[in-house]
Amino acid sequence: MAPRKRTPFRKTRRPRRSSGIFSWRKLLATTALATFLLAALYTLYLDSQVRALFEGKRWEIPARVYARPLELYTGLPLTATRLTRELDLAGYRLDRQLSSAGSYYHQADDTTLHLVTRAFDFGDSQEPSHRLTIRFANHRVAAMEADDGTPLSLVRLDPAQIGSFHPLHHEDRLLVARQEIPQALVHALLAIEDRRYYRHYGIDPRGIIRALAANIRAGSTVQGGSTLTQQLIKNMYLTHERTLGRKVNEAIMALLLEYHYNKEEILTAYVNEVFLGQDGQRAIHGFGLASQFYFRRQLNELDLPQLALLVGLVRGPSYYDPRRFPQRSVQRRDQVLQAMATAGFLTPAEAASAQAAPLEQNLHATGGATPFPAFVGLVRRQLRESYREQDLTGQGLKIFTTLDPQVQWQVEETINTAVAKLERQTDQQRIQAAVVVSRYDSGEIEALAGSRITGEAGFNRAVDARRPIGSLIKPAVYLSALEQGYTLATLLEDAKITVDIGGGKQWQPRNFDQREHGLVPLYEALANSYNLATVRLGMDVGLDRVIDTLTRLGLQQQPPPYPSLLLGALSISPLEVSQLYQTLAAGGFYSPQRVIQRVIAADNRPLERFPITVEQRLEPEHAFLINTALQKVVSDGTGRPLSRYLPGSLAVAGKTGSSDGLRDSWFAGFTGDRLVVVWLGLDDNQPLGLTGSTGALPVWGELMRALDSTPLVLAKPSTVEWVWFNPQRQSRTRARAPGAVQLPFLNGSIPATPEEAPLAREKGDGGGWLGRIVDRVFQKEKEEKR
Amino acid sequence: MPNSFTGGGLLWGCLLLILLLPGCALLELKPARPPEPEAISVSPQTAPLLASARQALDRREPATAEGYLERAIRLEPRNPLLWHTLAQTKYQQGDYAQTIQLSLRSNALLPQSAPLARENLSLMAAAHRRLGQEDKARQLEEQLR
Repeated sequence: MAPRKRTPFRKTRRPRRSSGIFSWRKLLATTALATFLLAALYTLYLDSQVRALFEGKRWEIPARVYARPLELYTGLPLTATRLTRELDLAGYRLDRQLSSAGSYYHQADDTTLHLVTRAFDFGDSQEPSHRLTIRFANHRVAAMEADDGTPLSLVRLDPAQIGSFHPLHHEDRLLVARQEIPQALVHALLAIEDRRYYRHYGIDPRGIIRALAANIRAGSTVQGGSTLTQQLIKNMYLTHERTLGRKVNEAIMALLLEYHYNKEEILTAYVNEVFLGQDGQRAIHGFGLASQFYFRRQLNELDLPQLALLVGLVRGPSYYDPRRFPQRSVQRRDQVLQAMATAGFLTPAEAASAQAAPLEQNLHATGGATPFPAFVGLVRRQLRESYREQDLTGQGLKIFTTLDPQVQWQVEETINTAVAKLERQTDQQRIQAAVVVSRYDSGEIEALAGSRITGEAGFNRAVDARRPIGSLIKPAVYLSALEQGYTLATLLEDAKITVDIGGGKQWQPRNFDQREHGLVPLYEALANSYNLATVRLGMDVGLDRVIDTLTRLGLQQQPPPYPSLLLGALSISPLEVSQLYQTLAAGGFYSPQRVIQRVIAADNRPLERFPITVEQRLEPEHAFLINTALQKVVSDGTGRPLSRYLPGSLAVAGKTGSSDGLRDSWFAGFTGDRLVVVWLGLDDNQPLGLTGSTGALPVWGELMRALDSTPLVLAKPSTVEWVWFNPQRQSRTRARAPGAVQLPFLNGSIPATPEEAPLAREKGDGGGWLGRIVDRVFQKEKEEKR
Repeated sequence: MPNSFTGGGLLWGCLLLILLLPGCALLELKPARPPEPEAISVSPQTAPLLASARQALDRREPATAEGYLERAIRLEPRNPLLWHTLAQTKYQQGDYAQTIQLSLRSNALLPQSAPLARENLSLMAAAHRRLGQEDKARQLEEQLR
């Protein structure tokens, strides 16, 4: 057998063995390369993350909602107490030294208030800071003067912030630029958080060792090893989980951040980002907002102890909360000051002096939750029609509204007291209320209450509760008639009526007093809110005309033409009622009701204005006639109980309303400047047991008594003349004759009664005593002729 | 004849009295005199706002003027001069429909014979013309004659 030849196969085994070693090396190299590539890719990914987030929109800034700015002038109805309350709302602080803008103090007798207003950018105009003294007398501003004694005619305060629209994570902040950051704040941060900030590249091994040593010495964690850059990365990009992976990511991203951006940019970002407190759902971020939140001052107005206290909060805003744990926060503040001295930023004497400063009293956080949820809710609802949710919550919009805090507070106080009084009278415990107060000339809503408990967010009855308005609809019926040629003196029949409502059904309305009143002049039927006369009138005028009138007054919906509409079978909200009466009160000029004046961007660029607009929807003479009739409602009709609250000289025009079964109680009325609508009812729609006169009217009266109102003087068109008239005789008569009433008539609409004509006299003259003598002479002559 | 003279004097005196009595009453019936243009003034607190608005209009900055005027109207809503100036502002902005409406608003606060009412009519006529409503413009101009 021939010896077996070594086969090349065997020969190749060695190389194969050597090839195995090679493949392991290759594998290792490949793995290393792959790992490197992966790491590089991951680093690139982190790099893109860092840059995208840092360069793009770094923070979502909530929209801020402001009240109307208070305009101060001599003669303004205002007391020092009421002004102080508004200043508190606006974040002003009591400071006898008036050391900076946003401070005030008043003398004990409340006759004088000294004030330094804050400069404010309204977008279309700038208001500088004013230093002034205001004197009060007789519940009014008696005089205003500047520091140098110059009298001031008009001063506009910066508006109070009454709410904000936060993003989902509820972060709130006020951005500050690098030049706005006090040097002492920078020093304090460096001393306690990152002493080598300007000497490292994002991570600082020496800092970690130093912090470790300090913590061992102290026996607790008094210093962190993370650099400011790492802390920023942690806050901005990462979660708060304590894992090695997160630490590694944090370190890489810190290095990347330092690679791309300079120290000042990173420091500014840190100052704006850091979490410094919690206010309910709102998270306080950045030193700019924290300064306002804790001290009611701009960041550049804080002194050293205050800055050190804020810096102390970085370690644990809740643990060192100066309001809850003042002692602990002061200790931490002193640690910061000590660290500043150790780092050479302060002399020991300066540190000791700052450490001796007491904690500021009255540390008062301006609440993030709005005190006026119903109003702010309506603002948000209106803005949603023009803005996306993310723009509302993240773009830092500034929204100037029409809310007058003085009026709003008065509404809330009145609801509390007046409704409680009604509850005691009626044994009802669950009476709900809604109130809308507006300036009808401009359509601006000054105040809004959507609930009995006004400070609570919830169902906004002023906007969302659609309830039958009852007799509040009657002015539309009577106005339609006046437009068709009726006069205020036209006799209407207040007698039973049966109306065919289709389907073989009939409707038989009744008067509230279950009686019939025979022939009554039109104005009297409205004043006493007679149902039978109204239904007869409305059916005569036509339901379509009444609906058209409602539409012109501002009703958005198209109600079905049922006869019951004439008695208020129309369910709308108090806000919608307010719109209808706005058109009446403004003499027939419709102005859309507004809660927003304008919106400006975070950089104060004007974005959107909601200007005053008017549209004449009624002829002035018809508006004059119906408004005169509404004054008669108050002077002689169902609104007469208002005389318990207000003087007749205010000449209020208004209308009561009650729904079937007394489930809803309404009063809508206006003075020379304001329109107020009040609704009362129960949420479960059970009978309330109150009419408009006994329920909503007293609330209305109490409110208007507390508010300073001007008398209602209707502008008489030249086409209208006042005439003494006897409605039952349908003839002119002499002034103050028995059965006579002075009424406005359209020129040419006065019933012709030639034999009485010479006795007619204009309003306000009555002929005078000479005229009365002449009247008597002529009268006697006539009687003799007869 | 003194007697007849005396009797005649009494007769004339009575006749004069009879004529004067209703005359006195008629005097009382006369409407209040319409205000002169300068009579429509603004309150001290509103005056600087109106002045600023007018300056802004002169600079052809109607949006700025509008801001001042809205503040003024909040302080003094029944002043026809402020509504008239707001109408001028709208005219400068090219919003002729609002020019007409605001002029009407101003007029609703004025006696028809007031000089400012004539200015409102004039402004409305111009606005109608800008809107291509020549007939309405002419009607208003007729009223002005």
